[in-house]
Amino acid sequence: MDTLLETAKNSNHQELLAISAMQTAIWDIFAVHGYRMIDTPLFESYDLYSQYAPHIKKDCIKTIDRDGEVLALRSDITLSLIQSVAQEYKNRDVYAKYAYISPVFLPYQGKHSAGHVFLQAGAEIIGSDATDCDSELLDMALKIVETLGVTQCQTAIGSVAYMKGLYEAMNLTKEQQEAFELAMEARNGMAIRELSARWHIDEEYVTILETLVMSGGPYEDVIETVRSFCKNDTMRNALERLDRIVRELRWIRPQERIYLEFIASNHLDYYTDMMFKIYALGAPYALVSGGRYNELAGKFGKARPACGFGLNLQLLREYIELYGEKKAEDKDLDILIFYSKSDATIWRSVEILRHNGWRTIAVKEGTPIHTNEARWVFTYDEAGFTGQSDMSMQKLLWLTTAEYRDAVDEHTDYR
Amino acid sequence: MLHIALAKGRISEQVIAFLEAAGIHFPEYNETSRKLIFVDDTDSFKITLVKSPDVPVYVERGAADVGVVGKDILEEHSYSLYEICDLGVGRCRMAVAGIKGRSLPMGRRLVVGTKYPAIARKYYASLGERVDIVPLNGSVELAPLVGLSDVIVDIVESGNTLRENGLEALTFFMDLSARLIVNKGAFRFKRKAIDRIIACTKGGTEDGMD
Repeated sequence: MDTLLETAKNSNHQELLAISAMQTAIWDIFAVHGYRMIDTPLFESYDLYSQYAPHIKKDCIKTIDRDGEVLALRSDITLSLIQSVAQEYKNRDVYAKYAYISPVFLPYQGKHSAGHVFLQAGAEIIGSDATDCDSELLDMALKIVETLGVTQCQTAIGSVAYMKGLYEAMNLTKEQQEAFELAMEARNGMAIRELSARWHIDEEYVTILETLVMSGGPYEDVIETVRSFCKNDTMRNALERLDRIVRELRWIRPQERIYLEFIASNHLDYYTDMMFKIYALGAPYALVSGGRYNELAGKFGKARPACGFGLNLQLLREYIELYGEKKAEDKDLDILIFYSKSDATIWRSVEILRHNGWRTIAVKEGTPIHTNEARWVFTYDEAGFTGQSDMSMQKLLWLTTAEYRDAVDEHTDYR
Repeated sequence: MLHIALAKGRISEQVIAFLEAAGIHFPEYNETSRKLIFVDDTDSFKITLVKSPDVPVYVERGAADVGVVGKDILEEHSYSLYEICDLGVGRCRMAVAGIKGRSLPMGRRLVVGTKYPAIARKYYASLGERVDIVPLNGSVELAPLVGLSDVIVDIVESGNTLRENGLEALTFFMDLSARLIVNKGAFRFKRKAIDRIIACTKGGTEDGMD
């Protein structure tokens, strides 16, 4: 990964328009599901990350305030959100649905793009352990990626609780469990065998781990095999919960392809139960990640069940640009006027055009500006406006952008 | 189509031999060709030959679905991908080597020349030792001979290169071999083809194609 300054760059007009359109679409989805907007501080105490998210602390962008306290630019919105909700609503068992679209300062790597800050959209449900919250979040995350033009998605779900139950049954030390979790996450079967041999793991468990490390497939194809590995109630309850979530999701999405896999772990994260990721054909990364984290709020003083998800808008935009449905490229500007005479007529006309919704620029003749950035180019001189044959200034002055769009849709000749 | 990135050279020759033996034929491939992309006769698999350190970059970013790369590359850098299996080819070891018969300096930090600064740093940290690392790009054996470092950390296969340059291996600390790596997205969307590649390479490993 390049350094922060090497990846720091401007966003151009088209990128910003695309991101803005994505934000509008996402907010619309959050709103109809009853989520309230929230934003958390951009600066957090560095202790928040070093204590509760040690895996990201080295990537945090740190600074020191006047009192010598080490601060970090926000590297995880869920942590900040849960902390503030736990601390600000100490005595209320609130059920709340929050959504946000806000910058996160953490390195990311896409297929072509990379950076140290990205816009994250996310939603969290706090105060309920019901499985319909998990299935609602899954559905909403899918709605978002579908609305934004991602057509071939796959939802991969698993359970941290199931793996926790398995490790409990194996009676592993913390160090041993972490080593196995790392190997499982990398689907590294060699490491599973090496670790099992080193710690004399019972052959039955080695077989289970070797099966799980390569696990993954349609839910119904995999679930019974995984169920046969259950060694305790923790594992059985985790699968019952997954069954309920999948059943509820299928009530509203009967055809949804759900991929079951068991490589998720909690040593790098705060998840406690169901975890999910949404992948799309061609994307080397998950477009959405989420899950349930019932124990996180308790660390800040008030225990509350919670679940949520987040998605990186920069990566999603990159994916849509590479693989999404191609839309006709829009010009950055509607009307460009070169004037040789500055008088009331031209500036009043410009004002009317802008009032009608046309993106308009008027510049003195000879100003170096790319004419291909505008849909229509006019000149204004003693003779008045002259321009292209497909649209007269006279028409534009009487036409709003909405009326023009309707006319185009109805194939009306407005010239 | 499954896109496979292979390191040019011995690893690519051995992997292509595995695939050919399993019935996946690349009609245009031959060891002397300067072409870098080969497609099999059923248009199901595409091989791209790249430099060894680039294989995980291709796979991580989805320019290739799977790849074969030495464990040394995966240990030296961190990549977000799956390390599925050991192909059992290209076996060698990571070693500390120094000038034959010369004792190591006392009372100052050891100077280590290496192409693998991360691996060397991690190894010495595991011993509780602080060392000065001199990052090099090639001909690492020269470093102790010209006084650039006290020892080197490098891959040793037969030990011939060390011997020819008056060096000897002092410690072997990591076993290395070629690994099959898979892109996280591709693992889910192209599982059938990936399983076929795993089966091909497993066959090769069991046959002892080392």
